[in-house]
Amino acid sequence: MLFNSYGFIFLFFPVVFYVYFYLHDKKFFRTGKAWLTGSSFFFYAWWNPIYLPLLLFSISVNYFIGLRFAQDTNSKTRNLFLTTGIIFNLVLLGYFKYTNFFISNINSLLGSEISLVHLILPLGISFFTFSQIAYLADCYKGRSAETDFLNYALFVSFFPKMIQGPIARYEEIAPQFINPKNNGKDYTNMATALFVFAMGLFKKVFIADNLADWANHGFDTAKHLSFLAAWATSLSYTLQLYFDFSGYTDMAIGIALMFNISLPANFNSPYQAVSIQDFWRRWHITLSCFLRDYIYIPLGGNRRGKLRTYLNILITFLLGGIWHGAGWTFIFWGILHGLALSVNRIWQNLGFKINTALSWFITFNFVNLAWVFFRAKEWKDALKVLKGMFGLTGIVLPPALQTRLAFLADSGVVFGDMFPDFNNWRHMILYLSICIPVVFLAKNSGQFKERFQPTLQTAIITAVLLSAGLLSFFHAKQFIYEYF
Amino acid sequence: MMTPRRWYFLSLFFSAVLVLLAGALIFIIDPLAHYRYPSFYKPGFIAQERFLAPGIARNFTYDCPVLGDSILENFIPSYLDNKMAVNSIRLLLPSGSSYELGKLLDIVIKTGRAKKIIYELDVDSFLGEVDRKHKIWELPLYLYDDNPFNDLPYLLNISYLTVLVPKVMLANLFNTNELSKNTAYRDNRALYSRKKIIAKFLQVQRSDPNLDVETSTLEKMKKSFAVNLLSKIEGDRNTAYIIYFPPTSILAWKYAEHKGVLESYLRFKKYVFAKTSQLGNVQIYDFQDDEKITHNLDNYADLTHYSSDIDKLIINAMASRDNRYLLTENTVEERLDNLRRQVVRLDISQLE
Repeated sequence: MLFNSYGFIFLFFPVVFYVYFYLHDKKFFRTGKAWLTGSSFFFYAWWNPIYLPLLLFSISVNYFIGLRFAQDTNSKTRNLFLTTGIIFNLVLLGYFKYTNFFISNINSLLGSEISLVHLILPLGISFFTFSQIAYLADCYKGRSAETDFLNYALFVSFFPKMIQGPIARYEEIAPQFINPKNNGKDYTNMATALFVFAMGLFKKVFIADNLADWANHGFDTAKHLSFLAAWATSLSYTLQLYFDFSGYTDMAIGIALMFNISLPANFNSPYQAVSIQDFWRRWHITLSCFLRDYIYIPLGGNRRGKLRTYLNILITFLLGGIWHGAGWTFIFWGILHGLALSVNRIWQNLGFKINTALSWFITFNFVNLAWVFFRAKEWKDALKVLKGMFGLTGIVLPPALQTRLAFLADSGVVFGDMFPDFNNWRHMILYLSICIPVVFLAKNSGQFKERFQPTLQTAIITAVLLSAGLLSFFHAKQFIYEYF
Repeated sequence: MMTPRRWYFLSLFFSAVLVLLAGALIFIIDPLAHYRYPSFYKPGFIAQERFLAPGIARNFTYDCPVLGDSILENFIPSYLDNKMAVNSIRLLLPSGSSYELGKLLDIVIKTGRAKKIIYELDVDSFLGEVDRKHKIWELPLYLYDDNPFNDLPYLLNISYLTVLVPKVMLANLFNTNELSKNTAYRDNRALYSRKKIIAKFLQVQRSDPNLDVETSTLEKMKKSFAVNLLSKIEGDRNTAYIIYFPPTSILAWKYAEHKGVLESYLRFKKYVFAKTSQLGNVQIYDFQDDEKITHNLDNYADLTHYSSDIDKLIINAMASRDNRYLLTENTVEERLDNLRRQVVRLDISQLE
């Protein structure tokens, strides 16, 4: 079930919300928690009921390993349980997410013909697995383990965050479920939550889903892309990804806040970053923190000399790339970011400084180029887009400029259809012209949330965003406007 | 400033009002004529036909609908009106499969308005499974049925609200040619050229070296024909049907040969004739072996789409029951053999 569906907004959410607080009103707090947990399982099972037992199994195993930490002080046994727990989680994730990737690589390397496994990737497995690895690592380090299975199950499965994060840590979430202050409806939270949800819904369905049409065409369908078409493709995707992911996160934050639960922020205007290090402090913040705290620092962080630091960064981002998807393009994307962070670190160590605007320009363009590998389904698609971006497939300008810029024809510039087969390309230009300044200059939804005041003006803005979002579910895509 | 509680409910109330207003506006203006023929403005041909066609079929006045895929794009209904003394309307679905066209035909038959139905039969549209739909251009099925409960995608759709409503209003304000049923989509002379179409042919031939041709092509086509067209004609015996095989370029047939489906296509045509000629309310015309049309590549914008001059020729032939094109028991075999010979002897290198 998606947040941006009528089923969720008009049926699932209201029922869960009102029953939950009805139980609270009647002082049935534990029943309320059980209701929320059961609803979260239902939310998960709606997508594919077959994987609900998998989620329950994962929750149970991690819960019991956590309990063992609480009961056992022997360091050897604790080590054994931590190792077992991490291996269990990684095997689960690896089996569902990476088996076919592994088999296809073995096949191409050895020329074997091992059949691929027919697996559907369980929704949100990367998120709930990482949350639980973090939980085990924290318990191992001495934080007291959760003894109440219901609390633990709710922490893992809480439906606003289960599918796409944020990757919340146990101590960020679980105490809020038992805090008496959070019992009962809180209209201050509900108002803020509605405001944030409306922003997220608008970002996801009104902006990102439209940009997706053009990005999909450029990456997946177009045979080749000229200079401007390639830039339009890559920028459409760069913006789509941000508005989609941050929009979904805003919705998650809003929905959780309806239940008086604050989820951690995940985005902070990442395309305003002035270095690649800054970017990773602003993009998918909860993943960055996880990678830092549970991979980079345990590897030694920056405590073992410069070379080892660079190596640690590379390993961390290589794993970050793999986490995002089972494919060499994801791995390459992770390595690119690892290298960029290492270069950034060397640059800082050498004491070099450059103009902030130039630094921002370099950072954004690097991120934009790297997303090409992240998005491309195959290498050839990435190369197609990059070739176009670097002008290797020629430059096409609108015929209207032909008389004024005719001299450019001698340099190979062609005057004709700039965006062949890009449906509604004028809308694309409009979207890009509005969204680019917004992501570069405007405040983000987290900052708007902090400044939120219940005024008539914000009520009208919320209503416009919410209704525009609700009217965009059946977005008829480009096809209604386009003839042949 | 107001209390958060008041703000919360006020925001929800405003949102509900805006959504309902949007839905009401679309219902009243009804830019796709889904509910009624518009009373206070002239309906316009303002969107892709997959969205327009069901409303036209359901609510426009006509007695001779012309159904087909994008090959009909330059078909001029008023020319047909003059030649055959009918009130025609063009109902085309770009890249329409026989299943999709069948859905449209269902609406037409249900209205009971048609005295004569002209069906442009593109053999390609019968390929694949019986219920094959276009892979990318999803058919908005909510516009094709009478169920009011699945109309939300029409009523609560920002695309219709922000694009189609203004578009139809502007078309009325400036009286643009989008209001004419004769609006041709691509009838631009500059589009038609021999050089272009040969290049196109060589391109598709090169880009498709390993064609996935099903051995069951003919059987599937027969099945699609039986379900998506024949059964509907059999159930509508009081209406006269004219089916015609459009004069796609000879290169389209050469491409069929390249794909290994030429014989299946020819046998399918024979099958269509055999099945419909027995019904009594069907005439079949075949323009596909007329070398004067199909070998003159300057008539075409690509392998299959031809100019409105050719459409006029088709209309003239149907209006005069031209025996050169009308298929009969005595001519069908010879006509198909003729087409086969033309395709086989065509030497692409001589065209280049």
